[in-house]
Formats: sequence, C-alpha cells, structure tokens
Amino acid sequence: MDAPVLSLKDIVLSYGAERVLDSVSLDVYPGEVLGVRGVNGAGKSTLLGIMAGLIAPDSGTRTVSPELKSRIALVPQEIALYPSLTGRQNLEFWAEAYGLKGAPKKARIGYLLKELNLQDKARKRVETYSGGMQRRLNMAAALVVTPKLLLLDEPTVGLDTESVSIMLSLITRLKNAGCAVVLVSHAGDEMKLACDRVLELKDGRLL
Amino acid sequence: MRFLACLKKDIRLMTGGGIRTLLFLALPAVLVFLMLWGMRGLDAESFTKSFPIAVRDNDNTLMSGMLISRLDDIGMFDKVVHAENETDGELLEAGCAAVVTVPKDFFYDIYDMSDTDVVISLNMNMPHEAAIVMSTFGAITRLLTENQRASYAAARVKYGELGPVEWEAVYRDYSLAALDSALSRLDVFSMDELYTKGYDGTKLFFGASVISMIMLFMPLMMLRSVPEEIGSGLAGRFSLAGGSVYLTVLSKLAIAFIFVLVPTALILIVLKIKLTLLLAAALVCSFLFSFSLFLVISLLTKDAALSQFSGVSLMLFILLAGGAFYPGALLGKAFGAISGYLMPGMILSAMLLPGGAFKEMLPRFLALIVPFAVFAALSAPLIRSGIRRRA
Repeated sequence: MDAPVLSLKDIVLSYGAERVLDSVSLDVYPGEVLGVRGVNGAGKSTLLGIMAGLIAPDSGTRTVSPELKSRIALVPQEIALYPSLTGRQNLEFWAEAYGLKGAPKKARIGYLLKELNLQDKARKRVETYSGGMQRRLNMAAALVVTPKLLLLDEPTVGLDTESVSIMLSLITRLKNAGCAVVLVSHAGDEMKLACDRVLELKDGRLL
Repeated sequence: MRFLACLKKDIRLMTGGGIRTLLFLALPAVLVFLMLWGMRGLDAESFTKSFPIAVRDNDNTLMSGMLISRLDDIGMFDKVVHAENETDGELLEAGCAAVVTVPKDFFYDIYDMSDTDVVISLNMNMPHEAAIVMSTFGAITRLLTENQRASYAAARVKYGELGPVEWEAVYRDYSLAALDSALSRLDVFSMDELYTKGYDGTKLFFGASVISMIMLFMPLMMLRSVPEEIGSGLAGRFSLAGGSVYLTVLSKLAIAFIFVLVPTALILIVLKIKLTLLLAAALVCSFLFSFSLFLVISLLTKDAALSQFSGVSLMLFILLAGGAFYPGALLGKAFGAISGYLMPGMILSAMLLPGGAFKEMLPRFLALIVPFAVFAALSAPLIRSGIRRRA
C-alpha cells in the first residue's frame, strides 16, 4: 500500500468547554475515496478544516506528504464564490490565485465549465444561478488545478439528480487519476455509491 | 501573481460591470456637478450667521488704524474685539472666529515690496467662518500689493529713479491715498464683496464635504464583500491556494485608494484648491481611518447587509456631525465641539491652514490616527477568529 498523503494522530480540539474532536486519528491514501459520516454538529466540517490546515488543533499531529503543497482543494458546504462576479470571472480568479495564466488557464477553465455543464451560463453572474449550478461551480473552483487531496463538505446537499450524477462521476475520475478524496456527509446513500471506506464520527470520536 | 489576481477581482467587485460600472465611475462627476449646480446663486448668508473676530494692531500707523476701524462697519462681523494683552488662544477660546494681527511695519513693508501679510489665527471649531476671514484678508493684502505697484510705477514716471530719502517721501505721500483707494474704490468691505469671499469659503466647504463623502463611500463599497469572503469560506479557499487573507485586505486597500485618489484629485483641480503637505496628510489620515473603520465593522457584524447598514449609518453621522451638510459651528454646541475632529471639519481645516501648520492640526490628526491604529490592531485577530469560526 502507498504511503498516506495525509495522517492525523490523536487530534483534540475544543471550543470553550465543548470538546469538538476527541483523539481523532486517520490516514488518507492516494486514489481512495474516504467517507466520514455523522449527524449535524458531529464535528465533520471542523475535521475537514484541520485536514486542510485551516484550523490548528489543541493537540495531536497532522502530517501531509510534501507533494500536497498547494494541491489541497476544499469544497466547503457554503458557496465559496463571489455572487456578483460571473462564473468565468470566479474561475479566472481562483486559477490566477493558484498561479495559472495564459493559455493553460483558459484551457483549464474551458474544461471545467464543460465538465460541469456550465458553459452556457459562464458569462452570467453567479447570483443568478440555481442552487445546483452554484454547487457545481463551487466544485469547479476547487479543481482549477488538479488536486492531490480533495476535501468535500456535504457536496450533494440540495442538488438535483443530474448534478449529483455529474459530481459523483467527477469524483470517480479524480480517484482513478490518483487523487485522494475525503467526503463528509450526514447522508448514507451517496457514501455507499462513492466511497471505498466510510468512518463514523460521533460526539467528536471516530468509530 | 496572487496579489494581481486579487486586484483584478476587487476592481470587478467594485465596479460590478455593465451599466453599474458606468454609474459608479460617474458618481464623483455627478457629485461635483450637483455641488457646482447647488452653489449657483448661493451667498454666504445661507451658510453663515454673523460672528465675532478679534484684531490686534501692532503697526500703530494711521493706515492700520483706518483698516481696523472699517472692520467695525461690516455686518458679517457682529463684534470686533480690539485685542490688547489677550493671547490668541484666549480670544479664540472666547468665541472669536479668528484673530487678525497687523504686524509692525506692515504697511511700510507692503510699499517696500517686502513679503508681508497680516497674521491670522483661525478658530478651527468654526472652519467655515474662518474660511471667510482668511479669504477676505487675503483679498485685502492682494489689493494693497497691487496698489503699491501702481503707486511705485507712478512715482517712477513722475520723479525718475528714487533714492532712499525720496522713497520715504513718496511712501508718506502715496500710502494713505492708496489704502483709501484699496478700501473704497475696490469696495473690499461691501457686503456683496464679502459674500463673494464667503462664496470662496463655501466652495472650500463643499470641496471638503464631497471629498469626505468619497473618502467614506469608496472604502465602504470596497469592503462590502468582506463578510461573505470570511464567512463563506472564500478566505479559507484562498489560503489553500497559498495566499494570505491579509493579501486580499491589502488589495482592497490599494483599489479603494485608487478609487478615492482619482475623484479627490479631480475635485481639487476643479475647485482650484491647493494641495499642501498638510492637506495631503489630512487626506491620507482620513482614508486610513475610513478604511480601517469599515473593515472592523464588516468583521464584527459578519453579515453583508448589517455591515452595509451600520457603515452607511456611521458615514451619515460623520458627515452630519463633521459639518459636511451644514457648518459644524451652526449645528449647536455639541456638534460644534466635535465637528473639527471629524473628517469634513478636519479636511476643511487642513485646506485653510498654511501647509506647515502640523502643530495646530496634531490633535485633529490624532483623532483619526489613534482610532486607525486601534482598528488595524483589532482587524488581524478578528480575521483569524472569523476563519476559524467558519471552519
């Protein structure tokens, strides 16, 4: 088995008196889709934040493989886009933030818009998009560079069947290309479809 | 590269594209047009009640006595205090809009072509009235200087090249007549003329007001996206791309500065207001204060709509209490006392005072710099906690 791209060991995090994560340990391997299931408030989003390196735990260690530098992509549950910009302008910003420019940038944005079926609306403001389209663009913004680790927070919430199908097929293709995917959700069905293994997070502990 | 991406994105966020861009870019021009249109047919009476001034005569000549005695006839000055042993500070404290000191040998220096001027201490709690005094006495000095040139030319035609003794005689013969000419023929102290000077003061007043609006409005507009950037995970996503959220704030600062700089320069040029070092410092302090204030508000409220509502409310308060809509001294005691320390009053003061009067302006600068330092210090932990809370 390959070495893990990400390891968490004995992660503990509290917000005030409330312990959100308690001795959480896990490994994520390249080319696997790992699901983390839990009810609302179980600490799933916080766990993703720690995996992404956006939140520092109170104790425990986070180890990432060197090749992950700037290749971790996060798709948050909220729509992390600029609503007053167009879909294309949003993708241009994120592509430039990742250092893409010129023809590669244009090609990547064109590919993503096509892949997520958003070409027709690319020049419209995001605030005019339907919920499903906004979620797809939210995903596209995370994929402006090919990630080595993709973190998805409730990616299918509020999506129509077509959008779920597009998302899951994209996840499968990323996995086949060697990308590690972590998917957190409170729903079991999509986990069964997409994940190689599923962990249960309850009261801040992994079961 | 990331900073450039942020700049490009922030320009797009600021202007919005399409018809909104045009409206947005036209806004400063519309403000200036409305201002000039509103000033048509306006006289200073609309904005100024009569007010007291103090005069100190250190020249003690017949001409200085004449000059000062004519001030008593001016309706705009409801009281002319003839200062003796009081200091300027005491006279301003007593409510005088300005203390005008005619320095020793003032008239002789004028006729000797030496650089000279009356010395004016302004009451910065009454900036609008102070502007009238400044422009009125500026006009008198200009007229006297022009008369001096005419007298000197006439004397040379009549007597040829003059030695010191002849020059002294010419000075005695001509000075009184020239002063009288300056005061009566050119009608410096007629009410109409005075109102025209007041109009100049009103122009400065409007200039300070519109610049203050721009100083407050542009950063407020620029920072309206901050709650969603922090709250929706945009900041976190940007961090993952290797960028820093502080870079995005810096980008907003740069874009807001450009959007403030261009219309402000336009207004200064159109209104022919001299950009002194003091005024430049006042404008920079105002901008930094405004940006940091709205940044902290947007971080504290965490909601775009609430942030905009709070920002606009504060902006209106600063403009109202600072005397942007109506001179602060006429708004009542409470507002009058603070107007000079708020943006419109402070910018107007900086327009009136000489370019090197940093000592006089220091308390007003501190009223902006200290809050700026506090807001800037608060911003960093608020941004960090915002990202952590969201995640």
